[in-house]
Amino acid sequence: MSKAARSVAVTVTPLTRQTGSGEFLQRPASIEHEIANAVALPAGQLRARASAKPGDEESMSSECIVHLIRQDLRDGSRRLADELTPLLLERCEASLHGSVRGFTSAAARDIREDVLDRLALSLLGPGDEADFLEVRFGLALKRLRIDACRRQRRRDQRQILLDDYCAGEGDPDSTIPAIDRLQSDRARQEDRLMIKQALASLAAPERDVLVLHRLAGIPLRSKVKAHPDLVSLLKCSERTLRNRLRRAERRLQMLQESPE
Amino acid sequence: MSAPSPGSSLQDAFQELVARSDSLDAAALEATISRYPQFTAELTEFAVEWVLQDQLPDDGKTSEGVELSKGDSATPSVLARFRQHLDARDANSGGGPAPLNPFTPLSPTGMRRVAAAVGIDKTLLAKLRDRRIVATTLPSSLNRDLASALQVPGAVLDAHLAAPACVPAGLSFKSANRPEVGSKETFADAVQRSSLDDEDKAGLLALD
Repeated sequence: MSKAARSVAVTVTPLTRQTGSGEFLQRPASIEHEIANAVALPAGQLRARASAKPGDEESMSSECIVHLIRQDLRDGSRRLADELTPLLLERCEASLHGSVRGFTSAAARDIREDVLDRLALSLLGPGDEADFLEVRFGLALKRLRIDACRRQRRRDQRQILLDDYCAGEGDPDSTIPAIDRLQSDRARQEDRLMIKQALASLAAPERDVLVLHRLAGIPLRSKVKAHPDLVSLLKCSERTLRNRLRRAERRLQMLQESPE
Repeated sequence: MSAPSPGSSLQDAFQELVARSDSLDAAALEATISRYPQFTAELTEFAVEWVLQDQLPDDGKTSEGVELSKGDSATPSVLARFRQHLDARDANSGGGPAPLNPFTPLSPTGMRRVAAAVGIDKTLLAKLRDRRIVATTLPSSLNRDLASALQVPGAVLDAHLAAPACVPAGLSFKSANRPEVGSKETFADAVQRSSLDDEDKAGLLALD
């Protein structure tokens, strides 16, 4: 049976979370429709759809699964929540497994656990923090993933002893090959390890300039006033930014030459 | 775009940033920082991590057909904690979380503010909070103003008012006896019994 084959007049609990501009979050019409149909399905069929691989015609969207779990908990039950939550978490972990980059296997597992914990707890919360999961689940998972990576990297950095910190002058262009290697799909395992060490050993201000300028391509100072640049974003002078960039690239260069 | 609501969290700021574009964009970062200046450092750090996650080479792992070994999967431990939370919730409340009550977050000051915004007294507002007024007798304009003052969609307020009357949890009572759930009354009766002056009563009763 196709997703649209059955349509049942069901009022779906409205979302109460407000966006930054003060409007209430709204589920896309397709999700509302899917939810209205899903609540009329027998338990076996519901489970089968939730278990189907995302992308299959019969599969249920994560937004719909989230709604069914939250509604079940609101109704004082937990039968559906007990059945559907493992399916949702497994689906998310498979997605996270391929998208957490630049960490050891153990750290990547910690990140996945962190994301899934936050996701599960938000489903349990009586408030409306999980409303966004019913609107654009993929985007909400992306936010949780990047935030978990951010916190893990901060933990990694605390563990690295910043010893021979070099603040000498140098030609910044001399380290551009290292940046190219960072972006290369063919980067070898040792390259990745070196990059990880380099990023972890950089102080946050240097790392921020390096990544945002060299990788994201944001100019230090834009020639066009209306275009954002790092001077305005990071509230620093161009000279300070150049110094930070030079120190970061020098550090990267040193690690390239003596990776131990 | 207007300023974010005062209760906006760091997660709201992150969510707004990722929703602005598929990959990090300088203009999106600048716009988000200007709306959430209190989170400038965190947003910058988040942006840096976003770039790294997009640009670092993958480790040859893809989500296609992934089957994590039991030891490598985080799902079982997360699920165990999730079920512990559910068990604790069930043990404490004997059921699920209460249905959405738009009055729950209101402090006494908040109650006064909402009452003033819709032009009723606190007693009348408390009756609406405790669902002691028949929902169908409420003027639609008052219903609309109340939903706006409570900052909830009208459907949430309708669902709340239509539920059976209740004794609010978390409030203190001076009486030695446990308060009882009373029967529902019409809006007109509730207005007549309120402390409002005659002019205000007449104004409320004249609402559509």
